[in-house]
Order: sequence, then structure tokens, then C-alpha cells
Amino acid sequence: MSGVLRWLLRRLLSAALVVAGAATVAFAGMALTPGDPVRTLLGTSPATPEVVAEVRADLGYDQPLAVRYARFIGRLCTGDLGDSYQLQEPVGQVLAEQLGPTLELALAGFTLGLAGALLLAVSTAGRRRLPVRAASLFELTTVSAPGFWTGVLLLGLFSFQLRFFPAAGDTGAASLVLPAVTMALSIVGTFSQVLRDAMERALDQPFVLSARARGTGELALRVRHVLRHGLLPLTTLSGWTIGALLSGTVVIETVFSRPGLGRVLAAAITSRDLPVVTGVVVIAAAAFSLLNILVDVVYRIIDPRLRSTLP
Amino acid sequence: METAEPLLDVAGLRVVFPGADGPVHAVDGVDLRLAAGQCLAVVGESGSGKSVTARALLGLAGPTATVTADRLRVAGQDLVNGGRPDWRALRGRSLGMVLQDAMTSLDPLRTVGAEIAEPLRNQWHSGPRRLLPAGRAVRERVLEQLRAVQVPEPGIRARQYPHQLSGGLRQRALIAAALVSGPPVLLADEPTTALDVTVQARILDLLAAQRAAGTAILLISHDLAVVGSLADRIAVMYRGRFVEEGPAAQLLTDPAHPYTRTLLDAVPSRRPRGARLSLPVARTEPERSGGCDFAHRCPLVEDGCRTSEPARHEVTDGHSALCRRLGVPLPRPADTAAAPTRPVSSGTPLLEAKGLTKSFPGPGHSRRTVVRDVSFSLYARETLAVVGESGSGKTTTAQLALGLLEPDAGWVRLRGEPWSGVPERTRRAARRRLQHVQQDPLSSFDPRYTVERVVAEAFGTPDRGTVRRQLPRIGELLESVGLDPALRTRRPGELSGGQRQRVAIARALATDPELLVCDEPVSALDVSVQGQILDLFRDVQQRTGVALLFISHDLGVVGHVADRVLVMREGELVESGRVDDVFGSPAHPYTRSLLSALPRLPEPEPEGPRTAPPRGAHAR
Repeated sequence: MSGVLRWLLRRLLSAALVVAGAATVAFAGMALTPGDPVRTLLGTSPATPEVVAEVRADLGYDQPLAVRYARFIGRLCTGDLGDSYQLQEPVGQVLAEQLGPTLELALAGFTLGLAGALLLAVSTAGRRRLPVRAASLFELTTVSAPGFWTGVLLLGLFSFQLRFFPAAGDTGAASLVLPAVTMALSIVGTFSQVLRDAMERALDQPFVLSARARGTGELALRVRHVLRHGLLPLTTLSGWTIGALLSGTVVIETVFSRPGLGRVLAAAITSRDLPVVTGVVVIAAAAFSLLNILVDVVYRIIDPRLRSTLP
Repeated sequence: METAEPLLDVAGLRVVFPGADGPVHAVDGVDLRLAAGQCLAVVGESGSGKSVTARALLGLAGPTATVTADRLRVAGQDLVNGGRPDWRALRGRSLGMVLQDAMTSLDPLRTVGAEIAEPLRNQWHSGPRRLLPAGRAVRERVLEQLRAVQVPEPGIRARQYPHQLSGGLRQRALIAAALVSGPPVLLADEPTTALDVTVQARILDLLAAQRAAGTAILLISHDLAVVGSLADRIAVMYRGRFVEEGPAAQLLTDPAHPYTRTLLDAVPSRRPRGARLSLPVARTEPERSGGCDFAHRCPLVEDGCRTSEPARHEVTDGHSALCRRLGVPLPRPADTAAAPTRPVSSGTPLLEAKGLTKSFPGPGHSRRTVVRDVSFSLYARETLAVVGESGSGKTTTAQLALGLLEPDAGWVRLRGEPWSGVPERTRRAARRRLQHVQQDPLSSFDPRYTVERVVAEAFGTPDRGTVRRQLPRIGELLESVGLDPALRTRRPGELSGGQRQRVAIARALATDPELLVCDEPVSALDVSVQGQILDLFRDVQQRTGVALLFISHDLGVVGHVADRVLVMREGELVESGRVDDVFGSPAHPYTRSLLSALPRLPEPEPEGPRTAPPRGAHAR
């Protein structure tokens, strides 16, 4: 057990390094971006040179780069991401408010997409031609359809025509349905294809013949034996996808006018609110790192052969 | 039990697969009967249809297969005239199946206990008349079955995963899963093929105990010796048909069909050391004609064989063969050198190893010593064999000899010059003097290369320019290993196992090496092909004087080809010496246990003089 703890500690440490690296890159990007952040902060309002100098000293921009970097990292270690230029609020607070709806959307979309993929793959893996073809067609369509287009289509049908779900905003579960479905549709095709492919490879293994020779039915065979083998590559893909979903909510949040990190990020980029951009980068890096650790843990749960070989 | 009806009663079983060039008759009219407490063995080379026969009995011949039979009765159930058979109820309960290699035949992601419990769980789903047994009852039954197949500490083993078990325990667990629902018939498809000889002996004992307890066993194997120790009756399968069937002892001592006879002649342990195992090889497969399928390989072929189908003839009561040339004496492979020339084990050894030790990192910070203090010398023109079970350090020893691994301690010398502990740059020039032949040539070839490029690899760069420059030499090499040079444009996947191993040997010979290191070179081959390859090694050695370091787990093969032998166990050399001495009077208890575990064929009955010259062709 101590081996597992040591492994986890090492992974967390390396995750912290990754986050620090991402923060450094974000800081460098901020420093290298042309334009004066103080001018951006002051906006178009006329300001005397004295005011500009005062703000500059306030933000520490009169200091050399190395000092600013040290301060930035120092603040980061205490969890302080700085203040937003636009909103005049601490970045941490802004992001904390927006993280909730985004997580909600990403998790709901991911769960829905995963469930759909499981259903599709289990019912079609190694089966007759026709259902597989139908599923493939569906998968290809969903993979090819861009999220903004699917979103608009769903909005048109279920909100404006049928009035089943609200069209905009974040007003409880009903308003989550369409955005989550849009997101699920963007991943279900890939997930289902990866899963079915891995399951079909597992179906060719001798242990499947063994299981059939024991009188195991086709559905039980897929659920008891083959599905777990299919979950291995899917886990790898999931780690990547959830991370991508977190940052990829921009489009869906815009289409459905939902609050969330994506919209904050989009707004921050257009208004060059660099502390907010840096904050999102740091949070995304942390999320990716943690998800990767989670993926490795899930791997060990699925595949007992990996449990005995801790790196 | 209540009637004398056999548990398996099959007549006219046919399995047809659609193929690119028309339908393939994998099983072509097989009849078999098997009663309680009996064992029928089906032997044959790969592709003969023996596995498909067993699978067809379970309805598992595959989705593309068309299975028909005149009569198919399993444990009293008529599967031909009785509507759609309920295969699932049959599987596990009436017929248990054990496949080769439990590492891949058990689900690696599930515990052994869950796998063994599966037939029980399947039963409650499909058996509405039964009460659902409680989880505890299932668990008890699993442990009971594990004890019945002599698995120690069943409580612990049931919670472990296949990879945590040794090969023997895995195979026992697989047998337990096949037997847990108490089927009266067990189908065992190559149940001991991937196992070490001592483990194999124990698994065969276990199967014999099951048979004694009343289970009927259909044993499928390519290994005649394994079959001989267990079977009451043997059926020899060739191209989808039982070409010969009879009581085991009689069939093995007095085989009737030419195919059976050539098969038995190819078993190394039955022939004098150094004697040829195979008849001259036909390089290409002739067109399939209307006559006997074996005609193109048969040493006794006459014109009538090629035009008319052979009929079944009784040899004695209960012993029949599908051949019109029964009783005609079979030519034995001509022994060009009756007494192989003894190599001279003196002077400077070609390869000398002293105190070789090698360890690898184990779990945590431990180190696992794989080879410990191994010394040997190998002289020119000599065959030195290394035998031992898996994990004994044979392959590591071979890699140390090849200079692919550096020993932690000890040294290797090649013709008196340092071979280990020198920089690779120094070694590279001499590398061509040592070549390597591996067990599975398919994975040692680039699958996208043609045969000529595979061989050209030995000349340095395998590009087309090299191929063009070396074309005559490549053709010569292919000829020298008995391959048609026209095969040079094929890819490895299009060749048979024997042809691939010939290509591997041709590649190894390309640099005129002084030493071939062969790591289990015939382990993946059928016995008749194995005979051809062993003959080829002998021919090459006599022609070129190359020395062989021959790694094998098969004592029969080693006894046939080697001059001297090293017996390894857990990384240590336990015994070494001339093969006749070591095998004749083994000094170490481990060597004795290996030799006693080796399944042996009965000695053949003396026949008339076998002096007729070989006619026709033999083997692929």
C-alpha cells in the first residue's frame, strides 16, 4: 500500500510541476504580448502620465521581469491569481463562480456521451452487418457535425418549435439538457468507435471462445468479459476528452448563452484581460494533470496486470 | 450411465467455410463415438481440421461455417433432428472445453474464481427449473473444483488473476472451469502444448484421473507421444478426414496409413540419433486432384491414388485406414551417414563461456539472477544443446553467447578472443560469424519485406540495390535450405511455418557463420515439418561445418540432434556432458525428473526390410 501512496505522491508532485510550467508559459505569453497592460487596464479613459505611473507601480510593472515573475509564482503558490483588469475582481473569485456551471455541463455531456457510446458499442460489437452499419452512419454524422451547428439545430427544434426546453441561460436542470446533449453528440461517435473496435479485438481472443464454450450468452459475454477490455483505450481517450471539454465549452456556452469558464475566457481574450487568461490556463493545466492521474488509477482498477507493476 | 449409448455419437460431420477459391472443406465426413470413461485422441498437423471438429460439437465452428452431420448426438441429445439445438444449455453442462494456453484462454481481467464460477452462473440464467444457488454455494463449488484439480491453497488462488499463476496452475484452473458443471464429456484441445514437460506430465495425470472417474475425453493434439499416454483410441486426421483410426497401442506400434507412418518416423525420440526424419520434400503443393488428398506427399503413391478416392479398409477389428496401399512397406528416410562423424572436442573452442552471471531488476529494488555461474565451451562442427524448463535461463544464456547482453560476471571468448566486455565497435566486425535463429520467424521478419529482402538483411542494408546485387547468392541460399527460389518475392505471411523457418535459416547462413545460435527453432512446428527442419540443420552442419548452440525444452529433439548437452534449472547448470551419457544415466535428480516426465511412444514393431528407395514426395 505504501507503494501506491508513494506513487500517488510522485504523480501529484509532477502534476504541480506541470501546472507551474503552464503558468510560466502563460506569464511569458503575457510579457511578450505587444501592448501595454496598463493602457489596456485604463481603457479609453484619458489619463495623465502621473495616473499611468501610479497604476504601473500599483501593478508592479515598474519592476524588472524577473521580480515580476517571482512575485507571480509566489502569489500562485498561495492560490492568488491576481485581479481581473476588466471586472476589477480577484481572478480566483471570478473563475470560482464560473467553474460550477462549466463543470456541470462538461460532466453531464461526458456522462451522456459515454452512456450512449456504451449502449451503441455493446449492442453492435461483433454483431451482424446491418446494425453495425446503422451505428457507424450515426457515429460518422455526429463526428462530422460541428458543435455550434448541432446546438443551433437542437435549439431550433426543441426550444423554438416544441418549447420543451429553455433556449438560454442557466435555470436549473431543464436548461442543461440541450447543451449537454450537444456536447454528448460531439463525443459519442468517437467514443463508440474506439470502444467497438477494442471490443471486437477482444472478441477475437481465445478467452472469448472459452467463455462461449462455458455456455455464456452473447450479451453476458460482452458485459462480463469484452467490455472491460474495451474500456482500456476508452479511459485514455476520456482523460483527454474531459480536459478538452472543459476548455471546449466556449462554443456551447456561447450558443446557449450559458454562464461558464468558456464565455469568461472568450471575453477575456477579446478584451486582453491577461490575468483571467492566465488563470484559465493554470486551472486547465491542473485539471488535465489531475485527470491523467485519475486515468492511471482507473487503469489499475480495470486491468489487474498493471496493479503489480508500479512504475 | 443408464444405457450403453455413447456420450458422443457423430456420423458424417462436415464443416465448410467460404474461401477465396471456393468453399473449404475443413471437416469432410468425420465419424466418432465416445463412451463414458474413454479417451479418443485426434491427432494431425495444423490445419487438418481437428480443432474445428471439436468446436463444431459445441456449435462454435464460427459464424461463417456451415456445419452438417448425418448424426450428431451429444449426451443423449439429438442435435440434428430436434429443431434448433439449445447450444448454450449444452456448453459447459454436457460438454466442457479446455483450450491451449490458459494465459490467453482465461480472461486476464477477471479473477480465476470468477472464471470458474461462470458456467454455474450461466446455468441459473438459462435453467428455469433450478433454484438459484446462493453466492456462497457457488463459491464453495468453485473451491471444491479447484481442490479436485489439485490446486493448492484454492481460497487464495480463486481470488488471484491469471497472470499471477504459473502455467500449470492456470491450466488446472481452465480445466476446473470446464469441469465445474460436471459435464460428462471433456473436449481438450492441445491442453498441454505450451507447458513444460514436468507440468505437462502432471496435467496428463489429472486428465487420466478424470477419465478414470468416468469423464469421456476427446483429446486433440499434434503430439503423438502426449496422445499415446492417455488415449484408448487414436484417430489420425488429415485434411478434414480421419485417415486412420484404431486402438492407441496398435496404431502407434503398427500404423497402417502412410501418413501415420511418416508422422511416427518423424518423431525424433523414436529414431536413432542423427538419423534422417523426413523424406525428400516436394517444394510446391500440387493441384488438388480427384484422388487421395495425401497422394502428393505419399511415398507409396501409385497412379490409381491420384484418380480414385481411397476406400476405408479394416486392418484388424476396430482399426481402419483410408488407403488403398495398406501393407506396402514404407521406405525409411535414407541414412546417408549411418554413424554421424564425431566432432573433435579439442583445441581452441569456437566459443567459450566462463562463470556467466546475469541478473535483471526485479520488483522494488531487488534483482533477479537469471543465469548464475554458467560455463561451457563449444567446438567447431559440434552441436551443443541447452535444455531446461521455462525460466531456466536458456534464452538469456543464448543472448550472452551472442553478445546481445553483457554478463554481470564471467566472460565469453570467440576463438580465444574476448567477446564479452569489449565495445560493440570491436564486436561488429565479427558479428557475421555468429547468427541467430529464433522460435517464431514470423515475428523476427519484417512482415512487409519479401523473402529476398529478408535474406538480404544479412548482407547489411536490405534495400533493393542489395537484393539486385546479391540475387544469385540469395537464390543459392534458398536452394540450400530446400526452398524454391521462386518463393523469393513472397511475403512472410504467405509462407507456411516450415517455409518461414527455412527462410530464417537461409538468412542466418548468408554470412557463412561459424556458429548458429538456435533458440527453440522447431518448437512451433508440426512434427513432420519439425523433422524436415532438424534434417536441414544436420545437412547444413555436414556441408558447412557450422557449430550449433541449440536451445530447446524438448528432450526428444535434443537427444536426436545434440552431441553434448547442458541441463539448466533456475539459472544454474545442473548437469552437462555427452547426450548419451546424460540421457542414458542422468546424475542429477532434476535431469532424471525431466526424463521421466517425458511422454514416450511405444517402440515400433519390427517390420520387413525397409530398403525401397523413396518414391514421390513428402511434406510441404
